[in-house]
Amino acid sequence: MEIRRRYVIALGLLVVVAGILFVWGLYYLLNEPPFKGGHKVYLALDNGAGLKRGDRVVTQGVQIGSVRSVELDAARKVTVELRLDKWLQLPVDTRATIRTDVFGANTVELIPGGALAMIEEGDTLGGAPVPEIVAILSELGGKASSLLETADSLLSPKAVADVHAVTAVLPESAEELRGAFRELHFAAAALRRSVEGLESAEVGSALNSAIAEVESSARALSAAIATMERSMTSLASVLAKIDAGQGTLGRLVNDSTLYWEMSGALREVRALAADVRERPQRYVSIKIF
Amino acid sequence: MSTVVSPAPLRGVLSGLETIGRAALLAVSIVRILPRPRMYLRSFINQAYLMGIRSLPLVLLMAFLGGAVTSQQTGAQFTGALPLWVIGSVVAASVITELGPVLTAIVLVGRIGASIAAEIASMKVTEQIDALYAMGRDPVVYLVVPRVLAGVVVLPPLVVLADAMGVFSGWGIGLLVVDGLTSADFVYGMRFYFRPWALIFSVLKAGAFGFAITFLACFIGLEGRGGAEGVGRTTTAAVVATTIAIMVLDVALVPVLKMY
Repeated sequence: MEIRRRYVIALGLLVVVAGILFVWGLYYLLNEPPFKGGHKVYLALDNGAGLKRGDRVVTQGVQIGSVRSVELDAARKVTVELRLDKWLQLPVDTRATIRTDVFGANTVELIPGGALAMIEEGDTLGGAPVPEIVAILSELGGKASSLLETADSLLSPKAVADVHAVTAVLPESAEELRGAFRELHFAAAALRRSVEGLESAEVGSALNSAIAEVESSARALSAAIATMERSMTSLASVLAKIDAGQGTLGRLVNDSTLYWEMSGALREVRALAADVRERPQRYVSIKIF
Repeated sequence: MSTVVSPAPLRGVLSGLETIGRAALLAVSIVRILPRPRMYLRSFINQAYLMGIRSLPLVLLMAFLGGAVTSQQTGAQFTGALPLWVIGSVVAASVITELGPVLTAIVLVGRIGASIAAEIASMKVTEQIDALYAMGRDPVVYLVVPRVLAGVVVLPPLVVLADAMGVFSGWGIGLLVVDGLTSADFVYGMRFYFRPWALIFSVLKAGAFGFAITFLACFIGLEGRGGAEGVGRTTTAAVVATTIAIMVLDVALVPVLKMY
């Protein structure tokens, strides 16, 4: 064979093999064997949800076809053409759910309904995407944001400083109040002694009656003082524990870790809410009825 | 205050512009001759055979190694962090859009670009090209057009074969090396991020690389001067220039990948 002809044949073989590989590889990677038939079914959507040619179509967890095309018409309706590899008896009320995983891969899942009539080739499964999880996440994010803003204001450095200041002053005030009550107690005792002296002097029945009333009042006053003294002792004990950082309230007042952690959590929830609003497809499964 | 321009930089700028002008004239000559295939067909077939068939084993070997290393490194870095099918996505995307065309072009720079520049520079310094002119033959017809056309025609099929080899080697080596990876995972990953335009882009890039390698090698060869030492310098300059040109083209063509 002439050398030049051999060269031409070799080059022709190279081009043909490359061409076959190119075409076969293209269809293989698109998940669409070029010589395989299939059945067309359409989806009418308001939102394409990022679907593209080659995305999988599954039912009951088994792949039965792929997305062939996604088109936006003049009326701004999205029509998705599905090619089903094998024909299944799907009810006319079959729903299509577009699932998006964390990597952005979309899968059209056909969920058969209960109708007796079956879809035919070329039929359209209608419906619109329902962004359920987007709404829920958005609402949840808003509530969490509001809650954390409130917590943020309660645990602000100024509020904590105020509580510290009050805590520092209260024991001293309680001590002063206790001293005042003690003096009042002594005064009542002195009054009781004076009354007893008067009784022994037998001044008269009217005076005795008045003295009895004063004595009754003094006893009541003494009891009240004793109660208040117990309350103030208890309050002083509680405030001392708070100031020493004991117990939940003491740690809350003295330890700023909770404040910083809640502030951090607030920032993260805000970022999550913003991300959910900007890229809802990361978090949502859109249902099409 | 007057601005003084030293003569040396000015001469450099003028020399650069002159070189670009000569390259443009050479390109125009090529375009002018292309419609007359009878003038260069025989030489074209020889060059295409040399570039295509003779380079094929080396191209396939490089693609095999490129795919294998991509698969292994992806598996080593992503195992435990991402699903294993990501290996298929990374191998297919990187081989088709980058490794296949660039590795093939680099192989041809070393194997063909250097050869073209050395051959034409030798002819230039031994005045064979002047002899062609003296005989009324245009050296562009016999030396440049067949080589440039062969580069543009042959590189795309070579790159398709390199892409296939790279993907298959990445697939096979991945199955052997990466624990838990299955063919189903790999195929799922390949299809996951695949866009038809990526494959077409790979072929278009191959054509652009083929033109850059052969055209620059021919041009730099025709610019050769200075005897045997000059041939060596010219060859080195051609290899350096074509390698840089390929990487610059590789960067410049990225927006084309994003078109679809």
